[in-house]
Amino acid sequence: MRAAAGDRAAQREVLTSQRVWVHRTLFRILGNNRDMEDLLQDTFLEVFRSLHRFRGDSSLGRWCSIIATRVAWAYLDRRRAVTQSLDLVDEPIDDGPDARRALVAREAARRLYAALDKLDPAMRIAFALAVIDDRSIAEVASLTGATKFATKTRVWRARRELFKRAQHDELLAQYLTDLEHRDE
Amino acid sequence: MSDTRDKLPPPPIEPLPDLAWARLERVVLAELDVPETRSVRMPLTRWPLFALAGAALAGAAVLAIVVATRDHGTAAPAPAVATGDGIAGPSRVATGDAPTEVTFGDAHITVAPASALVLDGAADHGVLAVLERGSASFAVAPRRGRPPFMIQAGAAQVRVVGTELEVTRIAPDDAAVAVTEGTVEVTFHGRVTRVTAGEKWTSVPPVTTTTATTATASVEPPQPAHHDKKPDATHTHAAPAGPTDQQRYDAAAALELTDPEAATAAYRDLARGKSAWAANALYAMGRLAHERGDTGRAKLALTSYIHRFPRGANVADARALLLKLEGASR
Repeated sequence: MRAAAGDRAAQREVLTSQRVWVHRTLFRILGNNRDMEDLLQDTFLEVFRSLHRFRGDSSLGRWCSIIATRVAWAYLDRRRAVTQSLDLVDEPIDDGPDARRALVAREAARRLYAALDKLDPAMRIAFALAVIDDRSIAEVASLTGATKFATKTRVWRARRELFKRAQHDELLAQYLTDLEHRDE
Repeated sequence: MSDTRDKLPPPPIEPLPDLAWARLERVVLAELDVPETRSVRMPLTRWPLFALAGAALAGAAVLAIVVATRDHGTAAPAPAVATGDGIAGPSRVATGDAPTEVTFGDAHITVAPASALVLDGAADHGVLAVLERGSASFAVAPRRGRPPFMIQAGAAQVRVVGTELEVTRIAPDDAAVAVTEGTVEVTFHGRVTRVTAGEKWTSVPPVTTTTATTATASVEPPQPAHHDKKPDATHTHAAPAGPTDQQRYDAAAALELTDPEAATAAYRDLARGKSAWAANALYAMGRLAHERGDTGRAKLALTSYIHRFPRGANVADARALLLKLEGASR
C-alpha cells in the first residue's frame, strides 16, 4: 500500500478517511475527549507503522478500530479514574420537550460513564462498544481479540455491575434500560 | 412490557475542532519522518485542547489574542501585531468590523473583517494557520528548506513554500485560494492541486446570488484546471424567495449596536432553521448576550448552539466562552 511505503498523500488520505471512525471508537470507550489528541496520535502512529502487516483480509477501518481499542485499553489500564466532566447545562434555551430531553440525556450519559469508570477495562470496553455503540458481539470480539463467548460474558458482567449501581439511581437505571432496548 | 415514553438516545459523540485534526495530521506525519524512537515523540498535550478555546482561563502561554471589536466608522486596519518567533503556544486573531495585520515569524498576514485565524508553531519548526472563518491574506517568505507554512481552511490544506496568497473559508468544509506570487499545493479530500501565481482554486464553483429560479444561469464558468468539486457536489438549488439567510443575518448584525433587543429577536428567528446561517445566528445570540452582560441567556444560547450544531464553525469559540462564563459564575 502506498501509505505503508511512505507516500505522504496516501497517508493523509488514510488519516482523513479513518479519523472519524477511530475517534468514534475511542470516544465511545472513554466517554469524553480528554487526552483524545494523544490517543489519536498513538493510534495513527501505530496504524502507519503496522500497515506493512495489513493484508487486506479485513477492512482498513476494522484494522484501525482494533488498534484504537488497544490504545484505549492501555490508556485505561494506566490512568486513575477521573470524574466525568461533560459540560452541564443549567437550563434549556427554551422550555421545549426536545431541549429538556437533551439535558436529561446528557446527565444520564455523564452518570453512565462515571459508573463505567468503576469497571475493569475489559468489561468497560465490551459494554461501551456492544451496548452504547450497538456493535455486534462478533465485531467487538474481533476488536478486542477475545472469543465471542468471552465478549458476551464481559458485557453481561458489565451490565450486572451497572444495574447494581443503578439501584439507587433511577436516571441511570432508565438510561441502561433504554440503551438495551433502543431498537424495540 | 410496553413503555410509551421516548427512550433516551445514546450519548452524542463530541466532535474535535478543526485545529485539533490539523495538529494531529501535522504531528503524525512529522513523526513518521523520524526513525522510530519513542523518545523524540512530541506530546500533543504540549498544546492542550482548550489552550486555544480557554486561553485566558487555563493560563496557557498564548500570545497576542487580538480582537478588533466593533468600531464603526474606523476603516483603517488595526496596528500590526508582532508575535515573533519561538511561540510557546498558539495565538488566535479574531476581527470585528476592521481587518487586522499580524506578523508571525517571517509571515505577514492580513486578517479580513469578521474573520478568525489561529496560528501555531514557529518558522523553523513549521507553522500551522487554521482559518476558522472569513478570509486572510498571507505573504510568506521563501522557506529555503525550512518546514513549510501550512494553512488549514475547512477540509482544504494549503502548503506554502514562499508566496503571497489569499485563503477564504466558505463553508464548514469548503475554501478558496487565490495566489498572487509563488506556488502553493492545495490538498482537498486527498486530491493535491498546485496553484501558481495568478491562478485561483476553489472547492465549489463560484455562484452569484440572484433571485432567479435556478442557480445554473448565474454560475461563472469553472476555473480551468483548478476547479475541484466534492464527488457528490450539486450545482443547482432553488434560491429561496425573499431575503436569504445570509441577508437576514447581516440585517440582524447591523442592529446590534443600535437596537440589541431587535437584533436578538432577529437572530432567534433565524436560529430556528438548520442552515449554517441559522447556526451563526444562534452563536451570535449567545455572544451578544455575553457582551451585554446577560450571562444566563448567553449560556443558554451557547449551550444550545453546541448541542444543535456540534460541527459549527464557532463551536470552539462557544466552548471557550462557556468556560469563561462558568468560571465567572463560581
